[in-house]
Amino acid sequence: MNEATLERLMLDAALGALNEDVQELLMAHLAGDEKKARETDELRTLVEKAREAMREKCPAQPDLRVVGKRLKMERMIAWGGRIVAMAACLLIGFGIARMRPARQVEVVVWEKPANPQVVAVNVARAGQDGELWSAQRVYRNAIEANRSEKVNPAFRRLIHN
Amino acid sequence: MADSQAKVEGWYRDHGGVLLRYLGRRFGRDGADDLLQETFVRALRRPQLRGEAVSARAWLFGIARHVGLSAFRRKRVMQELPEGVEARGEEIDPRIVAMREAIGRLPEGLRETLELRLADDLSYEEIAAVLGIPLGTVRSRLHHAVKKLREEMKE
Repeated sequence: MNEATLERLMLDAALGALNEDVQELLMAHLAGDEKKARETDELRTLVEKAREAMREKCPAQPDLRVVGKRLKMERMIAWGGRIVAMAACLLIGFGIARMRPARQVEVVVWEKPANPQVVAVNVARAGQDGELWSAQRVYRNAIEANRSEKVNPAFRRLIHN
Repeated sequence: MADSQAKVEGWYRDHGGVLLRYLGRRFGRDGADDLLQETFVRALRRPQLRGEAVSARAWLFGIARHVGLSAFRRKRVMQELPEGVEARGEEIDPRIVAMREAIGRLPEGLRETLELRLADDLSYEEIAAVLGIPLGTVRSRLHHAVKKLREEMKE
Protein backbone atom coordinates (compact mmCIF):
# COMPACT_ATOMS: atom_id res chain seq x y z
CA MET A 1 0.00 0.00 0.00
CA ASN A 2 1.12 3.51 -0.85
CA GLU A 3 2.55 5.38 2.18
CA ALA A 4 0.31 8.44 1.73
CA THR A 5 -2.79 6.28 1.33
CA LEU A 6 -1.87 4.30 4.43
CA GLU A 7 -1.44 7.48 6.49
CA ARG A 8 -4.75 8.79 5.25
CA LEU A 9 -6.47 5.56 6.18
CA MET A 10 -4.80 5.56 9.59
CA LEU A 11 -6.04 9.06 10.26
CA ASP A 12 -9.54 8.24 9.02
CA ALA A 13 -9.52 5.20 11.29
CA ALA A 14 -8.48 7.32 14.26
CA LEU A 15 -11.23 9.84 13.45
CA GLY A 16 -13.75 7.03 13.17
CA ALA A 17 -14.54 7.81 9.57
CA LEU A 18 -13.80 4.42 8.01
CA ASN A 19 -16.47 1.90 7.25
CA GLU A 20 -16.17 -1.52 8.83
CA ASP A 21 -14.82 -3.35 5.78
CA VAL A 22 -12.02 -0.87 5.16
CA GLN A 23 -11.27 -0.81 8.89
CA GLU A 24 -10.84 -4.58 8.92
CA LEU A 25 -8.64 -4.50 5.82
CA LEU A 26 -6.51 -1.82 7.42
CA MET A 27 -6.18 -3.78 10.64
CA ALA A 28 -5.13 -6.84 8.66
CA HIS A 29 -2.54 -4.76 6.86
CA LEU A 30 -1.25 -3.20 10.08
CA ALA A 31 -0.93 -6.62 11.72
CA GLY A 32 2.17 -7.12 9.61
CA ASP A 33 3.61 -3.67 10.33
CA GLU A 34 4.23 -3.14 14.03
CA LYS A 35 5.51 0.42 13.70
CA LYS A 36 2.51 1.60 11.75
CA ALA A 37 0.16 -0.26 14.08
CA ARG A 38 1.68 1.56 17.06
CA GLU A 39 1.38 4.86 15.23
CA THR A 40 -2.29 4.17 14.53
CA ASP A 41 -2.88 3.44 18.21
CA GLU A 42 -1.17 6.69 19.14
CA LEU A 43 -3.32 8.58 16.69
CA ARG A 44 -6.45 6.95 18.06
CA THR A 45 -5.50 7.84 21.63
CA LEU A 46 -4.75 11.42 20.61
CA VAL A 47 -8.04 11.80 18.80
CA GLU A 48 -9.92 10.25 21.73
CA LYS A 49 -8.27 12.74 24.05
CA ALA A 50 -9.19 15.60 21.73
CA ARG A 51 -12.75 14.31 21.59
CA GLU A 52 -12.86 14.18 25.37
CA ALA A 53 -11.45 17.68 25.61
CA MET A 54 -14.24 18.96 23.40
CA ARG A 55 -16.95 16.92 25.05
CA GLU A 56 -19.62 18.81 26.83
CA LYS A 57 -23.23 18.20 27.64
CA CYS A 58 -25.93 19.40 25.33
CA PRO A 59 -27.47 22.45 26.95
CA ALA A 60 -31.21 22.59 27.45
CA GLN A 61 -32.95 23.68 24.30
CA PRO A 62 -35.32 26.60 24.29
CA ASP A 63 -38.95 25.85 23.47
CA LEU A 64 -39.69 25.58 19.76
CA ARG A 65 -42.96 27.43 20.32
CA VAL A 66 -40.91 30.57 20.76
CA VAL A 67 -39.56 30.01 17.26
CA GLY A 68 -43.08 29.54 15.90
CA LYS A 69 -44.29 32.71 17.58
CA ARG A 70 -41.38 34.65 16.23
CA LEU A 71 -42.00 33.39 12.71
CA LYS A 72 -45.70 34.28 12.99
CA MET A 73 -44.78 37.75 14.17
CA GLU A 74 -42.33 38.15 11.28
CA ARG A 75 -44.99 37.11 8.78
CA MET A 76 -47.48 39.57 10.27
CA ILE A 77 -44.92 42.35 10.05
CA ALA A 78 -44.14 41.40 6.45
CA TRP A 79 -47.83 41.45 5.49
CA GLY A 80 -48.37 44.72 7.34
CA GLY A 81 -45.43 46.17 5.44
CA ARG A 82 -46.93 45.06 2.13
CA ILE A 83 -50.29 46.62 2.95
CA VAL A 84 -48.66 49.88 4.03
CA ALA A 85 -46.55 49.90 0.86
CA MET A 86 -49.65 49.37 -1.28
CA ALA A 87 -51.51 52.15 0.52
CA ALA A 88 -48.52 54.45 0.05
CA CYS A 89 -48.45 53.67 -3.68
CA LEU A 90 -52.15 54.51 -3.97
CA LEU A 91 -51.68 57.74 -2.08
CA ILE A 92 -48.77 58.76 -4.27
CA GLY A 93 -50.82 57.91 -7.38
CA PHE A 94 -53.77 60.00 -6.25
CA GLY A 95 -51.47 62.83 -5.24
CA ILE A 96 -49.81 62.89 -8.63
CA ALA A 97 -53.22 62.80 -10.31
CA ARG A 98 -54.40 65.80 -8.29
CA MET A 99 -51.25 67.77 -8.97
CA ARG A 100 -51.62 67.43 -12.75
CA PRO A 101 -53.23 70.55 -14.41
CA ALA A 102 -56.73 70.05 -15.80
CA ARG A 103 -56.93 69.67 -19.58
CA GLN A 104 -58.15 72.79 -21.45
CA VAL A 105 -60.94 71.88 -23.76
CA GLU A 106 -61.64 74.37 -26.52
CA VAL A 107 -65.00 74.15 -28.12
CA VAL A 108 -65.03 75.36 -31.69
CA VAL A 109 -68.37 76.05 -33.26
CA TRP A 110 -68.23 75.47 -36.93
CA GLU A 111 -70.48 77.67 -38.86
CA LYS A 112 -71.88 76.89 -42.21
CA PRO A 113 -70.39 79.23 -44.80
CA ALA A 114 -72.74 81.88 -46.05
CA ASN A 115 -72.21 81.06 -49.72
CA PRO A 116 -71.21 77.45 -50.11
CA GLN A 117 -69.48 76.70 -53.33
CA VAL A 118 -71.39 74.45 -55.58
CA VAL A 119 -69.42 71.43 -56.57
CA ALA A 120 -70.78 68.96 -59.03
CA VAL A 121 -69.07 65.92 -60.27
CA ASN A 122 -69.43 65.03 -63.87
CA VAL A 123 -70.04 61.44 -63.20
CA ALA A 124 -71.41 60.73 -66.62
CA ARG A 125 -68.18 61.65 -68.33
CA ALA A 126 -66.03 59.50 -66.11
CA GLY A 127 -68.25 56.55 -66.71
CA GLN A 128 -68.06 57.09 -70.42
CA ASP A 129 -64.35 57.28 -70.71
CA GLY A 130 -63.80 54.40 -68.33
CA GLU A 131 -60.66 56.00 -66.96
CA LEU A 132 -59.34 55.99 -63.51
CA TRP A 133 -59.50 59.65 -62.81
CA SER A 134 -57.49 61.31 -60.19
CA ALA A 135 -59.15 63.41 -57.54
CA GLN A 136 -57.66 66.49 -59.09
CA ARG A 137 -59.14 65.59 -62.42
CA VAL A 138 -62.56 64.97 -60.91
CA TYR A 139 -62.34 68.31 -59.18
CA ARG A 140 -61.37 70.05 -62.39
CA ASN A 141 -64.20 68.39 -64.23
CA ALA A 142 -66.60 69.49 -61.55
CA ILE A 143 -65.54 73.10 -61.89
CA GLU A 144 -65.86 72.82 -65.61
CA ALA A 145 -69.29 71.31 -65.28
CA ASN A 146 -70.36 74.13 -63.01
CA ARG A 147 -69.18 76.60 -65.53
CA SER A 148 -70.33 75.05 -68.76
CA GLU A 149 -73.22 72.74 -68.02
CA LYS A 150 -76.52 73.42 -66.57
CA VAL A 151 -76.76 71.72 -63.23
CA ASN A 152 -79.86 69.77 -62.50
CA PRO A 153 -81.83 71.70 -59.81
CA ALA A 154 -82.49 68.52 -57.85
CA PHE A 155 -78.79 67.76 -57.75
CA ARG A 156 -78.01 71.32 -56.74
CA ARG A 157 -80.46 71.03 -53.83
CA LEU A 158 -78.83 67.87 -52.75
CA ILE A 159 -75.42 69.51 -52.73
CA HIS A 160 -76.65 72.52 -50.75
CA ASN A 161 -78.16 70.35 -48.10
CA MET B 1 -47.23 24.34 5.57
CA ALA B 2 -48.26 22.10 8.49
CA ASP B 3 -46.20 19.32 6.97
CA SER B 4 -43.07 21.44 6.77
CA GLN B 5 -43.65 22.67 10.32
CA ALA B 6 -43.85 19.07 11.54
CA LYS B 7 -40.62 18.32 9.71
CA VAL B 8 -38.85 21.27 11.30
CA GLU B 9 -40.14 20.20 14.70
CA GLY B 10 -38.62 16.79 14.06
CA TRP B 11 -35.31 18.37 13.13
CA TYR B 12 -35.49 20.48 16.24
CA ARG B 13 -35.98 17.44 18.42
CA ASP B 14 -33.18 15.53 16.71
CA HIS B 15 -30.57 18.21 16.21
CA GLY B 16 -31.56 21.18 18.37
CA GLY B 17 -29.35 20.19 21.29
CA VAL B 18 -26.27 19.53 19.16
CA LEU B 19 -26.79 22.76 17.30
CA LEU B 20 -27.15 24.72 20.52
CA ARG B 21 -23.92 23.21 21.80
CA TYR B 22 -22.19 24.07 18.53
CA LEU B 23 -23.47 27.64 18.59
CA GLY B 24 -22.53 28.06 22.22
CA ARG B 25 -19.06 26.75 21.65
CA ARG B 26 -18.48 28.76 18.54
CA PHE B 27 -20.28 32.03 19.13
CA GLY B 28 -20.62 32.28 22.90
CA ARG B 29 -23.13 30.75 25.26
CA ASP B 30 -25.00 33.95 26.00
CA GLY B 31 -26.42 34.47 22.55
CA ALA B 32 -26.64 30.79 21.56
CA ASP B 33 -30.38 30.51 22.32
CA ASP B 34 -31.16 33.42 20.04
CA LEU B 35 -28.95 32.05 17.31
CA LEU B 36 -30.67 28.67 17.55
CA GLN B 37 -34.06 30.34 17.27
CA GLU B 38 -32.89 32.30 14.26
CA THR B 39 -31.55 29.10 12.72
CA PHE B 40 -34.91 27.38 12.98
CA VAL B 41 -36.82 30.47 11.89
CA ARG B 42 -34.75 30.40 8.70
CA ALA B 43 -35.25 26.67 8.34
CA LEU B 44 -39.02 27.14 8.71
CA ARG B 45 -39.00 29.91 6.14
CA ARG B 46 -37.60 27.73 3.40
CA PRO B 47 -37.76 24.05 4.37
CA GLN B 48 -37.74 23.04 0.69
CA LEU B 49 -34.03 23.91 0.51
CA ARG B 50 -33.32 20.91 2.72
CA GLY B 51 -33.62 18.72 -0.39
CA GLU B 52 -30.45 20.19 -1.84
CA ALA B 53 -28.30 19.43 1.22
CA VAL B 54 -26.32 16.29 2.08
CA SER B 55 -28.42 15.72 5.21
CA ALA B 56 -30.79 17.64 7.46
CA ARG B 57 -28.05 17.92 10.05
CA ALA B 58 -25.53 19.35 7.58
CA TRP B 59 -28.14 21.77 6.27
CA LEU B 60 -29.03 22.97 9.77
CA PHE B 61 -25.39 23.29 10.76
CA GLY B 62 -24.80 25.32 7.61
CA ILE B 63 -27.67 27.67 8.51
CA ALA B 64 -26.49 27.89 12.12
CA ARG B 65 -22.97 28.75 11.05
CA HIS B 66 -24.25 31.40 8.67
CA VAL B 67 -26.55 32.85 11.33
CA GLY B 68 -23.71 32.89 13.86
CA LEU B 69 -21.28 34.54 11.48
CA SER B 70 -23.86 37.17 10.50
CA ALA B 71 -24.45 37.93 14.17
CA PHE B 72 -20.71 38.10 14.65
CA ARG B 73 -20.41 40.65 11.87
CA ARG B 74 -23.24 42.67 13.36
CA LYS B 75 -22.38 42.53 17.03
CA ARG B 76 -18.89 41.13 17.15
CA VAL B 77 -20.11 38.48 19.57
CA MET B 78 -17.05 36.39 18.87
CA GLN B 79 -14.88 38.90 20.69
CA GLU B 80 -16.25 37.51 23.91
CA LEU B 81 -15.31 33.98 22.95
CA PRO B 82 -12.66 32.16 24.88
CA GLU B 83 -9.63 31.00 23.00
CA GLY B 84 -10.44 27.47 21.99
CA VAL B 85 -12.36 25.30 24.36
CA GLU B 86 -12.62 26.81 27.77
CA ALA B 87 -11.81 24.90 30.93
CA ARG B 88 -14.72 24.22 33.23
CA GLY B 89 -14.79 24.32 36.98
CA GLU B 90 -14.59 20.58 37.64
CA GLU B 91 -11.45 18.59 38.41
CA ILE B 92 -9.95 17.61 35.07
CA ASP B 93 -7.07 15.50 33.89
CA PRO B 94 -4.11 17.85 33.20
CA ARG B 95 -3.57 16.12 29.85
CA ILE B 96 -7.12 17.09 28.86
CA VAL B 97 -6.42 20.67 29.90
CA ALA B 98 -3.25 20.60 27.79
CA MET B 99 -5.25 19.20 24.91
CA ARG B 100 -7.84 21.97 25.23
CA GLU B 101 -5.09 24.53 25.14
CA ALA B 102 -3.55 22.87 22.11
CA ILE B 103 -6.92 22.83 20.35
CA GLY B 104 -7.31 26.49 21.24
CA ARG B 105 -4.03 27.28 19.54
CA LEU B 106 -5.03 25.63 16.27
CA PRO B 107 -5.73 27.96 13.36
CA GLU B 108 -9.41 28.82 13.04
CA GLY B 109 -10.13 26.73 9.94
CA LEU B 110 -8.44 23.62 11.33
CA ARG B 111 -10.08 23.96 14.71
CA GLU B 112 -13.54 24.44 13.27
CA THR B 113 -13.18 21.40 11.02
CA LEU B 114 -11.85 19.25 13.85
CA GLU B 115 -14.62 20.35 16.20
CA LEU B 116 -17.29 19.57 13.63
CA ARG B 117 -15.84 16.08 13.32
CA LEU B 118 -15.07 15.28 16.95
CA ALA B 119 -17.53 17.34 18.95
CA ASP B 120 -20.49 17.38 16.59
CA ASP B 121 -19.80 14.03 14.93
CA LEU B 122 -20.42 15.24 11.41
CA SER B 123 -19.24 13.11 8.49
CA TYR B 124 -16.61 14.44 6.09
CA GLU B 125 -19.30 15.11 3.48
CA GLU B 126 -21.41 16.99 6.00
CA ILE B 127 -18.44 19.07 7.14
CA ALA B 128 -17.68 19.92 3.51
CA ALA B 129 -21.30 21.02 3.03
CA VAL B 130 -21.38 23.09 6.24
CA LEU B 131 -18.12 24.88 5.55
CA GLY B 132 -18.66 25.08 1.80
CA ILE B 133 -15.29 23.50 1.01
CA PRO B 134 -14.28 20.45 -1.05
CA LEU B 135 -14.05 17.04 0.56
CA GLY B 136 -10.32 16.95 -0.06
CA THR B 137 -9.89 20.16 1.91
CA VAL B 138 -11.77 18.63 4.85
CA ARG B 139 -9.39 15.68 4.79
CA SER B 140 -6.32 17.83 4.56
CA ARG B 141 -7.54 20.14 7.34
CA LEU B 142 -8.19 17.20 9.64
CA HIS B 143 -4.86 15.74 8.74
CA HIS B 144 -3.06 18.99 9.55
CA ALA B 145 -5.06 19.53 12.73
CA VAL B 146 -4.22 16.07 14.10
CA LYS B 147 -0.60 16.47 13.05
CA LYS B 148 -0.34 19.81 14.86
CA LEU B 149 -2.02 18.43 17.98
CA ARG B 150 0.37 15.50 17.94
CA GLU B 151 3.36 17.81 17.74
CA GLU B 152 2.03 20.04 20.51
CA MET B 153 1.26 17.14 22.81
CA LYS B 154 4.71 15.66 22.30
CA GLU B 155 6.35 18.84 23.55
